[in-house]
Amino acid sequence: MKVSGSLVAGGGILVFMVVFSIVGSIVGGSPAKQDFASILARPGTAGHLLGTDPLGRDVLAWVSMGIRTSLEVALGVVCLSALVGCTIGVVAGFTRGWLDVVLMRLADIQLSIPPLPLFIAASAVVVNSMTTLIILVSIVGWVPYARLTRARVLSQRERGYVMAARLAGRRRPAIIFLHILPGIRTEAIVLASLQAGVALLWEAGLSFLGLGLQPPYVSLGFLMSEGKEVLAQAWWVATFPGVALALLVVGFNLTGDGMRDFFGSDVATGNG
Amino acid sequence: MSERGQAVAVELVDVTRVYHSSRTVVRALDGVSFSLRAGETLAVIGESGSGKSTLTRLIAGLERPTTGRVTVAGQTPRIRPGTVATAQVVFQDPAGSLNPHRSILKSVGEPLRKLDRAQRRATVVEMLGRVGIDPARISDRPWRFSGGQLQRVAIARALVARSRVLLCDEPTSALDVSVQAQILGLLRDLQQEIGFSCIFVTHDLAVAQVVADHVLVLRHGQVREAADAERFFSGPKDPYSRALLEAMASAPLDGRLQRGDNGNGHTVERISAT
Amino acid sequence: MNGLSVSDLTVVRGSGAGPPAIGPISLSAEPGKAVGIVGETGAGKTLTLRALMGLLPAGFQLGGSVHLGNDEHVYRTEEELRRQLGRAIGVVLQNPFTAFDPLKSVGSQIVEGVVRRRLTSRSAARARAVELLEQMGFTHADDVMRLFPSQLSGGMAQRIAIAMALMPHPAVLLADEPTSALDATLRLGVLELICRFTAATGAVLVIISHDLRLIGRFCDTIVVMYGGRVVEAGPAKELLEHPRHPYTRALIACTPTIGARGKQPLASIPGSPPSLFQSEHRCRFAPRCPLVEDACWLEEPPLVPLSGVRVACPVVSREAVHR
Repeated sequence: MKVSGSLVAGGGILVFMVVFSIVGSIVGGSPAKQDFASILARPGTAGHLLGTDPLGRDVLAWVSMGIRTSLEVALGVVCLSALVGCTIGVVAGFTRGWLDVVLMRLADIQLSIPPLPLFIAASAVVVNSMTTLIILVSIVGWVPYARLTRARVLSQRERGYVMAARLAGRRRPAIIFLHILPGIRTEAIVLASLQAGVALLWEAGLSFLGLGLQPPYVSLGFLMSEGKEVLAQAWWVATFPGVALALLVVGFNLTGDGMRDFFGSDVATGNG
Repeated sequence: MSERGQAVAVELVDVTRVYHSSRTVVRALDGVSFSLRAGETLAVIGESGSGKSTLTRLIAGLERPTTGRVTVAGQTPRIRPGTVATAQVVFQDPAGSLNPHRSILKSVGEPLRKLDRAQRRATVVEMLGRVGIDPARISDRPWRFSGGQLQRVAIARALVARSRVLLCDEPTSALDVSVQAQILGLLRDLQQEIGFSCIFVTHDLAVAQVVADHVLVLRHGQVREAADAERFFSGPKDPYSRALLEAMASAPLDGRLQRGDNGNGHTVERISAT
Repeated sequence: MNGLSVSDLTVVRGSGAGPPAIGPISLSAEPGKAVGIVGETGAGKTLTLRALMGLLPAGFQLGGSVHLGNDEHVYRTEEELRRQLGRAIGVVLQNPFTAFDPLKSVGSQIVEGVVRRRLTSRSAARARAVELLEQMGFTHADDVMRLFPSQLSGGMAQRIAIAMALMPHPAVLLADEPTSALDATLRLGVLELICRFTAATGAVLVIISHDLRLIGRFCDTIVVMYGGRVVEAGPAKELLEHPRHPYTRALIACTPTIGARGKQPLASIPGSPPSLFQSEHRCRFAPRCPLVEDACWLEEPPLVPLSGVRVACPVVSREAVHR
């Protein structure tokens, strides 16, 4: 178990972003507030540290809240897709037989569906809500967890201690929770850290395209789509949310790498 | 004293186990029969691919034979969640046989879930003492122990629920010679105290001779020879068995051992400086 | 001088304060002879092997000297020894498949080493490879050359690995547990091949193993290691028939062999092996030794001659003198 540079850097970036978003909201005020006196104000204008958008909304306020929105979505997606994916993986790996085949074909089907058309189709039906978005992105994101968990379950099943547990009369749920899952948690955590960045990008991208979170939700992607229109005259509207998004993704990626270093292929924990 | 009676502890009658995969059919075991009386030890000798691991799994009840009958302590062995299996196993890899995330107290106590916590702990402590592990270490995780110590813990777990049948699948192959000698001595002592029957799978004939009352030689799933140990080691009949025996012959070491028995079961070399 | 000569080989960790982790080890062998280094886990066999190859891990220092074959040069540094890998020093390791690149045919790999180092031409190398493979028992050596590692069984792979190691006519062949990954019936055959071939070419064979039975059967000289020290060394037959060091005797007593004794228990050694890295100067076997005396805890026993072998036990040496 070693704390690597990646972990420190990644963790540091994420902590910084959280602090920034809190401070930024205090300083910037409400993102919905439209200051008609200062439309497309440059960064540094009085009262608008990072400028304003075409409707006079404060960019700092928007970016700050947008960071929190992104984090909420990322967290929700990671939790839901990990829960669904790991459960499916454990069931498939443990029961083998036809259920395993069905579930893994389901995973293959899921992977072969291009996400974007799926979202476009879904947007025709679903409403603008964070819960719906989290569910949609999770539908696209559960497969890596399932495959990982299933592979680990298959290898753990053959371990001496799993067989010993069966010989000792343990029931299946106990075997799964006591003997199989603990061997998986390290890799699941690493995967989750990396998938968080993916989820962030999906949220921002979809909001950018108008398929994700629209006002009254405060999304970095939405601001970036606004800023795209006025990129020539007001570079700040698209740039600051873009930088924030990039920092969040880099932060999660570094943390994910750092988690991998932290746990390592540690023989002592039986993983690796 | 062990109960060396007429009771048959383990019996296989014309057992065949066939595996079907998408491309091939594998006869892991083909028409294997033998019976083992209570309190005695059968050495199953075979190399990789001989079917010895499959045999272990069948006797443990982890798998069922394709044809034929397996009987352990008078019943068909079957893994039933909620009951402890009659035949317990000691595996080849000591580290892989204990959950690295759990203390040895929990691992050894796993077959004792019917007891309450205090009783379970007391039983585990007693068993660990019997196999030579300091009871103060019950809360330690497996990574703190050496290979030989882990194997002792595995033996403790296998015997803690008073199993009548112990299956040892190459239990000393991964251990140093001196550690192997300790473990073999431990198994012998415990068998004399408790009286379990033992099926000892090994590829090493010399180890087999140390432990066996009877010998079964397997090759490609078939029984090449089955005999009493004494008869087997003085002159095997089957050519494959003979080849194995010759491969093991290691003059000038043979017959040269100076051993002393200090009476309490743990033999100690009586060394003189001559 | 011919053959192999190792003088006061030591391996020291770090700055060098305190006793060395390994050594001093001195041994010599004439061309064509086999030396067996036997010891259990923690005896220091692997580190000794790595010292002879010049491949010690970071933080370890090599001491002493090695003399190889016809070469006048005396090797004192790791770099010098390392340069001889694939020339004067051949190595065969435990897992035969780790010797091969899975993406190339074995034939191309056998010749690669000597051709790259310009020791011989490609055609000469090929011819020699075929000849070696035939010596290793392959009847269709040309076909074997075209195989890929994934098509080989364990026994085949190890024999090919040995042929590969012998290509540059090494003065010394180091074999680290060369047969422990193989089935019992293959072991004898492979070891016989190694021994016969090294004897024929005049190379010195150094086998490192935990299996006293194999070493006893194939080696001319045996070196018994414990805790990083040589505790006894000498001609195989003499050492096995009349072991003197308490550890050697205990090891022999622990080793199961086929005999007329039937189901008898083996002796065992109480306790467990020591660490290689200790700060005190004392006999490393003292905590487990049945003959231990006070003096054993105060200094390391030197390896001294005794009736044709060398033993590192003052108690045993003294008793022998008094008879």
